[in-house]
Amino acid sequence: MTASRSIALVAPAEPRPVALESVLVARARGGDPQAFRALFERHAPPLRRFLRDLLRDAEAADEATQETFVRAFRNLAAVRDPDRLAPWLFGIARHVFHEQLRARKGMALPAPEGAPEPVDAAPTPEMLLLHREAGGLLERALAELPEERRAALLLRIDHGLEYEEIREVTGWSLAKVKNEIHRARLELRARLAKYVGGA
Amino acid sequence: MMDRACNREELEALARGRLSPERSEAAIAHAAACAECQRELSWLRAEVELMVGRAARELAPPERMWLALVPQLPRVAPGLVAGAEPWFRRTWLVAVALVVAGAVAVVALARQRPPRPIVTVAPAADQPRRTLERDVTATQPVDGPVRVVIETSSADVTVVAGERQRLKVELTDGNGEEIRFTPIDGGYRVDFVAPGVRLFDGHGRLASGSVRVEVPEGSQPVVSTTSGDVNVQGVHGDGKVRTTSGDVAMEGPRDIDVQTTSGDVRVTDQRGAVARVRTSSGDATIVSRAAGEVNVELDATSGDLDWTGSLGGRLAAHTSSGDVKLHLAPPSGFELELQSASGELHDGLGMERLNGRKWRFGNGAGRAVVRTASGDLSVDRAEGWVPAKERGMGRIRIETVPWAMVQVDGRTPMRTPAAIDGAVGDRVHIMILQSGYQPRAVDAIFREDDQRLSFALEPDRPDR
Repeated sequence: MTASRSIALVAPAEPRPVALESVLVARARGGDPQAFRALFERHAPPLRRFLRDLLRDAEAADEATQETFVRAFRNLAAVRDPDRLAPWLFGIARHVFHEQLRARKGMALPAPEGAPEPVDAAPTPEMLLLHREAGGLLERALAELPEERRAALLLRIDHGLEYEEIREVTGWSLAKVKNEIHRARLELRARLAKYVGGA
Repeated sequence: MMDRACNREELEALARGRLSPERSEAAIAHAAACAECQRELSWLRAEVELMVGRAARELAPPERMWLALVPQLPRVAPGLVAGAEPWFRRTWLVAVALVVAGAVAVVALARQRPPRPIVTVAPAADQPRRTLERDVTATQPVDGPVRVVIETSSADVTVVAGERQRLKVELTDGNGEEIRFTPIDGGYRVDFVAPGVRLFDGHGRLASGSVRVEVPEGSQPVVSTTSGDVNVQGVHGDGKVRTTSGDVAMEGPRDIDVQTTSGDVRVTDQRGAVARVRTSSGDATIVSRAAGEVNVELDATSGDLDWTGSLGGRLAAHTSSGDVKLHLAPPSGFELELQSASGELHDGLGMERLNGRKWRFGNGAGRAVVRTASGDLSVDRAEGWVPAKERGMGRIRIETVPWAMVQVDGRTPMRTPAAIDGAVGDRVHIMILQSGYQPRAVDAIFREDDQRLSFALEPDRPDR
């Protein structure tokens, strides 16, 4: 231990350059097909998951995703904040979902799959994470939430929207947005705890 | 009930990693003393973890979704922007022409393509397009590392590092498929278009032959096959692989995300800290060279899980009947929890037992959770491990602004300038705290020589 030298630090991963949303929107408004494609690549996975969560039917969700993009591309000139495209797209997706729901009037959405085996009597969030079927339990618990409440919760916890953005998507008051998400969270946790703990 | 100091939205921001370091520390300190907030934070963290895992499992939408979207656009999008090129209309006309043209549509589209195409067709640079050739090569100029998406059915896929300015795809023993490069966010999707019209029916999953892809080093391959094997060698970028029965071999990747049903997974020389490997009956073997702060999730049903590396971060391994083997290298320090119905622990490391199912090793900074039904867990030293007492001691001197506090591995803070000693090769987490400045945190590794670490702290700024 004689010589001195500066220490080697563990460098974080370099961020990958990503085109700004507003740039893509501007290019798409100008008719650039690659910009449309880039917007589709960026937003299709979360929109498709959101619609699948609401419709619980993969094929119907794919159709609804396509319809969402058809409407979005048609109305791209109307986007007010091109840097915040996601809330606007989720708003369209939610509208498409409601239309599909009305079209299916009288037809029940697919029921969630059978109940899992309870494994423990004192459930905690950590135990939930350790449960090898945690993903399946989550899907089931989400599926049992009322549709509107489920949508609001997923916009918050899955898609990372701010409360104000969810207010824009849903058209609810801010107080209602917060209240619905809070209630959805409590319901979700109660169901998850029940599955994990069998309580 | 939460008292006035409790702030649910702040806890949520903390769980999502959206809080400034100062507010994070305050929130963590509050939660540590408030059972209600502690439980809320646990739930929020579980929520984030589940949601991240859920999003990570999401595959990109199939190409057919985009291709099906394109011909629908003209019915609703004439005159998208006043004065803009009527791109949709012309594409729609091309699409109609495709239907009419039947079997010659692919060629027709390529010839009648508008000036700015939806997909970039890149036939071999050094040979004319011959759609019935069984061996086809195509290249695409790029500016450096890119994301490359490849889907096949039973064709094997090999991805290697090549020239920095191009993608090169070689299809061997195919059925006359044409290779196309479709621009996607951050790179290209490689599609294989069979002779005849299959443009709108979800083409692109190659049923025979083998594919060799050369990418710039640092690129991010995303490969999906049904029964085809996947081999990624020396690319040194993040890798994402999905197979049903195909085996997966990766050498030198950064972060990895691999899922198979019955395929075996073998990863060597992993350089990234994040590994997510999920298999049903396949075995998974991962050798990591990331130092300490790893984030590893391994999941199998009947397959065995075998991980080698330095553990100072988080590792979760779940199996039903498969065994879990952890071969640990310095600098490792962790708490281990084993939950198993009938599986046993074989401790070749000499861990300190904390209770019936928890053990501690080293500084206990990392956390490993292993859950099995009947599978056993064995923990031992990785090949070449040298015990700390045989490695000699190193010293790190820490210098920064006057009167700052330094905290090492979460222990009691001390004033700077400070010096810490440790076994060569061991890793420490150092945090510098001084009011009026933003905290700094770094990881450092003891070396044989004396090291000096100087911090220049940034003054406080607003939270976001």
